[in-house]
Amino acid sequence: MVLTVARKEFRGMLRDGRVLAGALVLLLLAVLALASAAARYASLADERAIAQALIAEQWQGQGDKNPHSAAHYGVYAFRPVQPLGFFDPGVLPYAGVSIWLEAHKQNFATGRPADDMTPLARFGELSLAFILQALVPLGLLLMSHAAFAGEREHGTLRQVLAAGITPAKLFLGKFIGLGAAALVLLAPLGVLSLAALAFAGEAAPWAAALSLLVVYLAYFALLLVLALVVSARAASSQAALLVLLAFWACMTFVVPRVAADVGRIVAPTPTMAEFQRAVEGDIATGMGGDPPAERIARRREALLRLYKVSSESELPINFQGIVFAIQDELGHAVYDKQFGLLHDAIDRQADVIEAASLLSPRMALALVSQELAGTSLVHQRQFERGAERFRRELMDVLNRDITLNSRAGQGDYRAGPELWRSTGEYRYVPEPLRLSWARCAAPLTVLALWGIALAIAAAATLRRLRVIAA
Amino acid sequence: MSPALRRFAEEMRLLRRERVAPWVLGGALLLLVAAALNGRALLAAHDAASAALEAESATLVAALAAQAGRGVPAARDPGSVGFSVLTYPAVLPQASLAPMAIGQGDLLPGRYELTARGAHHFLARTELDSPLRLSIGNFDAAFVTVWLVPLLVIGLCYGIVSAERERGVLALAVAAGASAVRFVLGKWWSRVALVVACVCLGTLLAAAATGALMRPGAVLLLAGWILAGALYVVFWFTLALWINAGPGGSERNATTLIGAWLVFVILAPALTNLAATTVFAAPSRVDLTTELREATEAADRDAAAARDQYFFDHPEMQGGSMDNRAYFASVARSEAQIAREMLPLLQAFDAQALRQQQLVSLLQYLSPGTLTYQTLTTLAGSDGARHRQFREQTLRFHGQWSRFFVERLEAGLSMTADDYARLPRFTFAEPSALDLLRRALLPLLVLAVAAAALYLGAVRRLRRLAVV
Repeated sequence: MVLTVARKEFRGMLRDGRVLAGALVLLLLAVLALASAAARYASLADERAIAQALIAEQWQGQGDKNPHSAAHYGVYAFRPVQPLGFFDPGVLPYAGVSIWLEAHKQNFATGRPADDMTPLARFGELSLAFILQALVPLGLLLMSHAAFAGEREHGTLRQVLAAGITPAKLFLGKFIGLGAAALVLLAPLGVLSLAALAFAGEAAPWAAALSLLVVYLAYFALLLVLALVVSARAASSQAALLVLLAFWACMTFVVPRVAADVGRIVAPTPTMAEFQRAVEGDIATGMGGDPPAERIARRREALLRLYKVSSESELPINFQGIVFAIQDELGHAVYDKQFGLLHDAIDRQADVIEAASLLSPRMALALVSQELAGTSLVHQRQFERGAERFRRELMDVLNRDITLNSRAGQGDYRAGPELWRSTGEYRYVPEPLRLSWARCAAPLTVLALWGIALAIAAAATLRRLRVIAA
Repeated sequence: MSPALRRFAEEMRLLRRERVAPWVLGGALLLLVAAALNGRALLAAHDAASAALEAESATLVAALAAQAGRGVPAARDPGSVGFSVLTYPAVLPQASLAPMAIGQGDLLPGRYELTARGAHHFLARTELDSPLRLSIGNFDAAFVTVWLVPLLVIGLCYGIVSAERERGVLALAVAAGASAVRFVLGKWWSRVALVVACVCLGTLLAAAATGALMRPGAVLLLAGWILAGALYVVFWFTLALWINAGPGGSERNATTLIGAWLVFVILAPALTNLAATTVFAAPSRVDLTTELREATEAADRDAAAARDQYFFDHPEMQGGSMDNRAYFASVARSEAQIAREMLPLLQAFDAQALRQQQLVSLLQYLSPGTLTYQTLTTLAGSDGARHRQFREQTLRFHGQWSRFFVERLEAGLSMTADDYARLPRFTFAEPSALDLLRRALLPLLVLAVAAAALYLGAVRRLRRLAVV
């Protein structure tokens, strides 16, 4: 009986010209989004790989130089393109792609792709993730809103139930039939995406892609249940349609925007000027502890005592290298504090958005999608933190070289290519997928809660299913 | 009471009876005001930071002037002051309607902190913000008007003819001697009047809540905004009427209208952006970074050669440092050299951005959603054009600012207290409200023509309408 209902729904959907036309439009949009993203992905991947190689070449080919001059010259770290970025760009269009790693300063990533987009980008970029998060759900709601309400209006619901099928089995049959039709209609889109991913070659993150597939399918199943519940409860198919459309507009566009702005009001980020003043203030005062000059004086005294000499020039090392290291120690602590405060504010904003996903399952899905695609806020921060760790190691190497290989007052000391080669270069390695999964716990819980709530609503609705139109 | 007014009163009674309508209309009013207040809160932080920077810079200038008067060397050295000590904030003042449409306002810089060093030092800097928040977008009055108000219109109008036909009311009215066309148009005009009034009032209240009405030129711009909002609402009503005048049932009409909303409000803008950024892709920021590095390295090499020459010319200084004036003169030369190298690249970015904008200006006519959004952000100064003007004016001003110090440096002059009083000051040359309205005129005209054409087409279809 269940399968009979499912077959009927399945055939009905695939015979409906509007459904087929809608699916075709979605497919065309997906092809367009995919083609443009794939082209952009390929050119960006090449461009950044070339730039990273060029920067390494410039660093190693800088000739003989004082290591501290080389530290000021610095290197750049470029964020490599994520293979799944073509599917879900996440926050990356609004995050910088390169960081200058130089002496004394922890710089921000610069060169946000969004800075070069038109104002219309704020409407939403056409990506595969956008199509799956916003447009496919709309299609699902449109194709299933009349599943119960329509039958009730036509009087067929009573006939079907009189034939002996229980409301629960009818619900299940409709769910399977509509779900299967949706799967058939969406299959070309899935095949296209996986084919595009295959172009990434060995780097293709298949596990992440399959995880995304599972999450998106579970989400679509959730929406299908929602549509069926609303259809079963609504006074008419029109009412069901309006309720579902209002819900779709709110969860897709209104709730995320309101949540994002409320987040900013609750936890404002400092302005760049405030951030810089705070850094300068902390460095000048030694973060409320020792000012740098006192730390340097203390270390000088300790070294003079250790080597039993009376002046820096008698030391077997160059004290200037140690001065740089002390300045860097303080700088690291200051930047850790100030970046920590900035990241705290951004995280609290993200918490508000995450909390709002209780009202918008689309938001929960978007957060999971970004995590699994490697394009989330956390992935960007990992790239930035990795770059900063490398900067600190690089500066340590250069300061140590000055300390050990030159003497006080030796301003003309020069190091060569051997030292530049020994510093290595920064390569961002994305974290293992299981760590990204772990961060999805909260949004996945929200989706699970939606699932439980809908299951309860479905059970309650089916217990008192109205069979006659009001 | 005239028949039109009677019909309006009757329609209002009907809407009141559909208990949802008053709530929806009240909700729209509230959303517009809340969105505008949200916009004000977002921009207030920018304004406060800019004011603090300006105050800090003014205090520093006053202190340096006093020190120069007392002969303190650091305050009298134009190189040290211009290249190292003094930072001048060039600030883009908030546009009158900016809180109503954030647009590019939270993405593009609203201030630059200038020194006598090259423009590349300040151009790349952006304001701190959460990439997650930026990627989601803002909740402002433009969003409510362009995205949500059409949904309200669809909710009120998707069955304005079909539902009456399905319930048999239309046949009853015709049987009672009424004209079907007049009956439908009476209902339609009443709803148009109600929603247009609601949107106009909401916009007015929103503007008042942001304090925009007190600003110069705001009334004219607000009139343009209200006109754009009203025409947009009327467009959606006429589209609903045209669709309803066909043979489809209410459910089909609702689906068609939602499809139209999807195309005009979601897909067309996204495809326009995609077309503009694909056809006129911006030059690579990564290339800009590597080019800047090469230019900096070349300038450093030349500076090192100049330093060697200096010590050759001044053997008495060997083993020490260059004097301050010679050092900053070499910095000025390096910065000028880097600026020359970078100019074509930066111009390439500007040229491509302009081409993108021109393409968007052309393609905007494909969608009333894009057209209205572009118009609202133009009037609010957040469509990117105002920021581009700010950038251009800042670059011109930066030339003046740098020259002020470099000329004194090269002439061997010291800074005096009077020099500090003569420091160039940046004032943004605001485009006039009339200019902005002129830019909005054609889009508004097109929107009006589209609405009028749909209305006439709908009336013609209504004349052939089957009432059962």
